[in-house]
Amino acid sequence: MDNHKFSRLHITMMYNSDIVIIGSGLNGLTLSLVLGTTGLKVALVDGNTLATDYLSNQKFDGKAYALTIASQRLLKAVNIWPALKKNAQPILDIKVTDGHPGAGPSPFIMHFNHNEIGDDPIAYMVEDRHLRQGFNDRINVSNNIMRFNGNVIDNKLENNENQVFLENGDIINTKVILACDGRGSPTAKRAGILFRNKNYQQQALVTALEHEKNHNGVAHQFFMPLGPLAILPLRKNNSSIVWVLSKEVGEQTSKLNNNDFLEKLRPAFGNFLGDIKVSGERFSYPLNLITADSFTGERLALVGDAAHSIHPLAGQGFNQGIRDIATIAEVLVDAYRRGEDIGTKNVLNRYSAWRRFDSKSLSSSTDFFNTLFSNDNSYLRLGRNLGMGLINNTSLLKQFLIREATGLTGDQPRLLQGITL
Amino acid sequence: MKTTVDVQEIKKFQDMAAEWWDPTGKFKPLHMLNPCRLDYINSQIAYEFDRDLTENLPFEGLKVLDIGCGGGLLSEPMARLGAEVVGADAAERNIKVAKVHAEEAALDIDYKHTTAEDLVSDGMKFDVILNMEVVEHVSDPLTFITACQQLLNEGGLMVCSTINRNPKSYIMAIIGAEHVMRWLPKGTHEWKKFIKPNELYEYIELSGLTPVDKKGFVFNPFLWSWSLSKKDLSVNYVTASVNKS
Repeated sequence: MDNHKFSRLHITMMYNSDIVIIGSGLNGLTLSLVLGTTGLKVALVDGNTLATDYLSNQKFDGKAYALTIASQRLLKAVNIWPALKKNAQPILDIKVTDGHPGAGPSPFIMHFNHNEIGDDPIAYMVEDRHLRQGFNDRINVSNNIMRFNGNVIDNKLENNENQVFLENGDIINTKVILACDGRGSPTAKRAGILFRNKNYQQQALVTALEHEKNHNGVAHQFFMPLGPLAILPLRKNNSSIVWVLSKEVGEQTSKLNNNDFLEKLRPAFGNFLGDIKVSGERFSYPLNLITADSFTGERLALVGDAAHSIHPLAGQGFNQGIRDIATIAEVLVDAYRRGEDIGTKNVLNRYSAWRRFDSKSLSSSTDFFNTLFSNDNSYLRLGRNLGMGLINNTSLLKQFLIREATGLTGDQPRLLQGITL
Repeated sequence: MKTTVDVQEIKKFQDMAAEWWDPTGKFKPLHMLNPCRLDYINSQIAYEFDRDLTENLPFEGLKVLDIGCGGGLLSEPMARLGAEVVGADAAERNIKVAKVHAEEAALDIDYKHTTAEDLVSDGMKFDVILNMEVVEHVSDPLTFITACQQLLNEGGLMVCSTINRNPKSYIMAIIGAEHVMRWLPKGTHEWKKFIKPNELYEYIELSGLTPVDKKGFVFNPFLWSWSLSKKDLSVNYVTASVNKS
């Protein structure tokens, strides 16, 4: 009995850190690395052991993100881009096509070539495993980032600090908590932050395909009556696809085996890349737009999916997270170097004021495009066919859309201009 | 005790002192202006004393006096950046508020209920004097600035900001800030005590200091924030001067 008691004894440790980042997903990893390079002390906390002890040489699962030029600049500024670029696939063109049911692609094709904005590719496809590996390798050798493996059970304001309580009894005192704990953020819930939820009654199916012919670096967006299908080039003869279907059809389709899934996909996908087979894991998730009523709380800021998550139509989820990261990092580092208390309302409000407009505009424009294109209404169809033709011939509007897709619009934080903090 | 402190001015600020640290309260304009003021102060100190602002504790080893420190809006950042800070204010309640707040923030700041003139009598010397939004409240600016000069080490720096005196500043600082926006209680400022940049330069030179820079603090109502301007010194402005040997 005594032995049992003894084994339960845990010496509670008290730590101090300028910043506590909760959640070591992609946003938490990126934010830790960015802040860790500025001299601020960062505690990165996650209860998921897979996230903390990330194994090297994970096998291909098809999960990948289209990183915009702006996102690449941030990764360049913290000097991790060269390592990622080695395994990345450039997107050289985006072709947007409107499809009739069973009639193949419409003749009105919008075509974005990277030469219209400069010499660089429009975006790079980077696999999830390569991103996690790259970030973890850097973070684990950083002197400014301390990792904690354990769930956060609570946090409390104490004088001019926020105290973070871990499940093992350890406490971290910090100036500010940055919640990167994703959609439905438990940290945001604890702070009483409310969310607006818009359910699209749609299901997104995500996987990777291997195809016979090479994609030549071209990304496709097919707007089909069932819903949009995005085809994004991966390395070699692989592409990542995001297929958005109605809730019922999507749920049914997600349950099909690979062969039946391909049978269903082929009419939408077409045969322009030759024969196709499933090469990645298959993921399926409902689409809903969730936005926090407030991006900040007392000595707390929400970052990435914890603040807002949009459906993946524009492939902008992680890019949006990177914009949050560039903004909060600049606000905090500038305040720190100015001698301000980085956790005050005064400082955190600069982040929410800067981000709010931007995330709203992207969420609502993606929302608008999806509604417009996934509706099989002939008047809308005529309108959008004409619209596409017009957009294609109106270089100013097209340049705006392509700049939006590359993340080059809006008031840019320094990191998104490639300037080191 | 010989003093340039205006008794009525002290009473006014005592009434307001408890609200110093509420960014949405009565001192909202100062909280809004603070990042811009700090950017100017920090860059001037970094330039004069050859410090790198991206390093930790860049102001280590510097003695800073924040004269008219109020609730400590500038003293605390200076202490965080590593400076040895004395915050002085003629209003006792300000000092009490500032002390309580610094203790909560675990910052080591020497707050004193005293005046520039008394610090001179005590033989105190500093590398940097922050003289921000104070000269327009004292009864005799020249005597006050002369006391500041006497408090500076050779090669020391004084950063001094105030409000210009012209029709625009009357509209912006008195009608706008006190009557329309109600950012400040009515009667916070007396327009006739505002100082034109050439007058301030004259006081500074007469005190024995050498003015080296001046900039405007400009409020942008569209961005709802303050920024530094090389040209527009029409309302709020700031100067830097050095104590040459």
